[in-house]
Amino acid sequence: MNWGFFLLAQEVLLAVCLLGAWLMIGAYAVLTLAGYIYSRECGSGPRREDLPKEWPGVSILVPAHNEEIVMAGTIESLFHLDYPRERVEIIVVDDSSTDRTRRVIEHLMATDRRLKLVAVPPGVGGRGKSHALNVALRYASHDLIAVYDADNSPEPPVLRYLVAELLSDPKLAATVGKVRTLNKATNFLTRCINIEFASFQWMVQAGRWRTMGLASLPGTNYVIRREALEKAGGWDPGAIADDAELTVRLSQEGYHIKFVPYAVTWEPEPQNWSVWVRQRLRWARGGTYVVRKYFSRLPRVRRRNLALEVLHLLTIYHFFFVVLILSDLLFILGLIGGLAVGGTASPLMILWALALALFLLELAVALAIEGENTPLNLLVAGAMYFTYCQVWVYVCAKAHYLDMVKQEDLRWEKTVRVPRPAEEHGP
Amino acid sequence: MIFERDLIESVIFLAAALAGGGLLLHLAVRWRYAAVVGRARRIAARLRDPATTLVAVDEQASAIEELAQLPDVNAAVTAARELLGSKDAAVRSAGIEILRRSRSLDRWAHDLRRGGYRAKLRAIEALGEVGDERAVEELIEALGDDDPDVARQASYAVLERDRDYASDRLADALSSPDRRIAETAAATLVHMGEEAVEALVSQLASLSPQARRLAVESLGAIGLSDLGEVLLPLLEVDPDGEVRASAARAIAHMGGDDVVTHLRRVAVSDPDWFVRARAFSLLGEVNAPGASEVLMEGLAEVQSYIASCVMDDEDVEPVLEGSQRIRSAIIAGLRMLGLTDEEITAAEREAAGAQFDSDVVPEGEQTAEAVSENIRALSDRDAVRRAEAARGLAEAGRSAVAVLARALRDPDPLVRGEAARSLGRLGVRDCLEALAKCLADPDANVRLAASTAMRAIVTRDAARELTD
Repeated sequence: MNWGFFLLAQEVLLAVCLLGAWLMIGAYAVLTLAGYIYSRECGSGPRREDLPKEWPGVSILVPAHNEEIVMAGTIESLFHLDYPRERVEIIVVDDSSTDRTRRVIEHLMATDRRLKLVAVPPGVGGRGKSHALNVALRYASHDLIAVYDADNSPEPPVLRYLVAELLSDPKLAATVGKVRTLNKATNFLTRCINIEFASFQWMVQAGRWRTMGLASLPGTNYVIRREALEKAGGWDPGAIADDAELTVRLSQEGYHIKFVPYAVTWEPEPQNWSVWVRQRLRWARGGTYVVRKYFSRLPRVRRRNLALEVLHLLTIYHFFFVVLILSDLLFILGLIGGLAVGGTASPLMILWALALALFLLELAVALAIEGENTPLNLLVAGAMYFTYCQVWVYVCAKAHYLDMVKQEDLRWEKTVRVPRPAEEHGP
Repeated sequence: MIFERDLIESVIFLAAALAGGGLLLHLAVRWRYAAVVGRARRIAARLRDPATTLVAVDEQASAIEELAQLPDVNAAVTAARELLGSKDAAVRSAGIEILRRSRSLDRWAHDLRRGGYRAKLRAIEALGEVGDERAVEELIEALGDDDPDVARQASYAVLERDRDYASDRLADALSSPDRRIAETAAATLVHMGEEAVEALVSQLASLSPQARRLAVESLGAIGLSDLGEVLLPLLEVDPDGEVRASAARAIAHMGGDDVVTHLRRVAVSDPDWFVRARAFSLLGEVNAPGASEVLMEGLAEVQSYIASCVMDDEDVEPVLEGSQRIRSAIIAGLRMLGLTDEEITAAEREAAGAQFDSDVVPEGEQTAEAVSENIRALSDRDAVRRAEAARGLAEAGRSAVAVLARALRDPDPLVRGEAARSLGRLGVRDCLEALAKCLADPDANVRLAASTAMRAIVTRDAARELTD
């Protein structure tokens, strides 16, 4: 056996892994810095006197499928949005619910004229969020469309902030707000999700907006121009990550999306791992669907934002996945004392540890911007690489297996809701 | 070594000299400040003296001038804020005058609009102590602050001085174009309770519908039973539907013997569908004797109206406004009265049956009970049962058109096909449009059934015209 070749191959593999990890973490370090600068520029939002005096009409769409435990709280939050009453309509799509969702909506409809119900009967609905949103769009009467998930609690000024930013630049197709975790103190998983959301929003959303002028649509808390939405062809019913797919199509049409960090909504996140895995599996499969759909078109793409958006998804669901696996491999090899790496384990381990330290520093900065840099959160962030990130590897692996090996059809899987916590640090 | 010791000693001496000098300077500054504060307090005490305020106006003016000219603004402001605690209006106005001259009011107003959280709270506290017209105006502006804590503190501060004046100003704020200001003002007035009633009642005549609505809601939340006399006329005369709906809610919450009568009148006769829907749902909430009968009546009426309309949407049931909303409110009301879904369905079926009784059903054909049974079966889980029901409704007469048209959108092609055939047998021209849509059905049998039915209707109509 040619051991020399074997050792060389190992070293090349490790070098590639480190290069990949450092490239990615380095890029995110730049984005974190940009996110920090953007947070300083934005402050806590515009002054009231700087906002427009005349407000356009907004149709708020809320797709709902078996949401009885969270529906009332969401609708109440939407009733209390600080926006002229007569300029808002709230359209809730009861997407073939089999629980008491419709009953809850009907009860609240009698208290506020702005709430409207579009009921999709059994057998016709239940085909996912995109389908429900497309149905709701047919009944929307305004030119600005806001989307909220059925478990959200937006803060009162959110709509004003998003609309004001959207009106400030005609090139913008949409403005997106920030999503915070309502049940962040419930357990280790929700703490991890809270840290992940804070990092995602300050690194990926704020950082990319500040450096490249682009952001992604989240599934909730955004306002979009109807004209842009219709030009892009509405939501793709085949996509199970409707937000990522629509972001790419808007980029294809040459539109921009702006991140508005002081427009905040709160939502309860999964509290157990099995629900989390199912939710992330849907996201991962939705993301890879978008990559598959647009990757082959990249060489012909003239829009910079479209290419960057597809590359972003490629990074999360493919590149990051591979780097994590290689990083794990490197860590294990390092631990067993350079068994097969010919004495190069030690410096490589140092490089690996430095990469991890930079990753943790980025998380710490994002938490500090968010005002969440408590000792406990920093401790959880330290543990996230070895726990949360590793389950993410499993999720990505399963998504790729289902897509490439099993070739299973994409199917909308609803996230099991948890009730709103009574006494959390919410709005 | 000696040099080093000398150096160390020199450094120690220098440090001690600096520290001593600094201490002396500090003490001098403190002494001077204490002297200024003492002087300010003496002037303030002179101003508080009743002899000064009542007799020597000139002396008061000179004292104010003296305070305003003090070399330390903070000392003057501290003394002025002490004067604000006086019950004597003249002393308080002297304090305000000093604050105005020292530009403290401007600074606090600025902090309240643009300062950070702590600066805002400090400004609120100070302006609350001042409590004059301008301070209250600034505080009312702060009711619209995006930070709910700041808005809440501002609302407490408004009430700190003259509550009558504050309630009037807060009531005026109900018509503010800034919704947050108006709503926080309303919440503050509710917090005041009975003291705010007079100011709120005066707003019922406001030109602003928002002010009238918030005044009605606030009065309802205060909940004095004798307010019914003030609110009842609004049900009839207010031109704004939202105000009438709020008045209905306030009246419902106040209760009383006639509450069902009042709500029934609104539910039956209001020109705005939302107000009618609101009244029906409130009938469920009040749960008073007679409420369920009114709801049942309403259900029968609205059900027959809805059944007579053929829906033209493909696959959804939009409940956006109008009779669908009223129906949904009635059902919500019946649920609040404790009726189960089965009981409500039975009531709806009864209403549908009543409608068929009144329609022209061909002689010797289905009875109302059979028609109701078929309509109910159309929502069965079993597609075969639904298809049989659709076939059976061909014998039901023109009244079955609406439900059969809806069955054309059934997820099962078997049911859609039977519905199309039944519509063809019924031969009603109204359903041609619904049948035409089935010509694009993905199922070939449904397309065939629809085209056959359409041909049958057209042929029958033509034959009838020839016969006539």
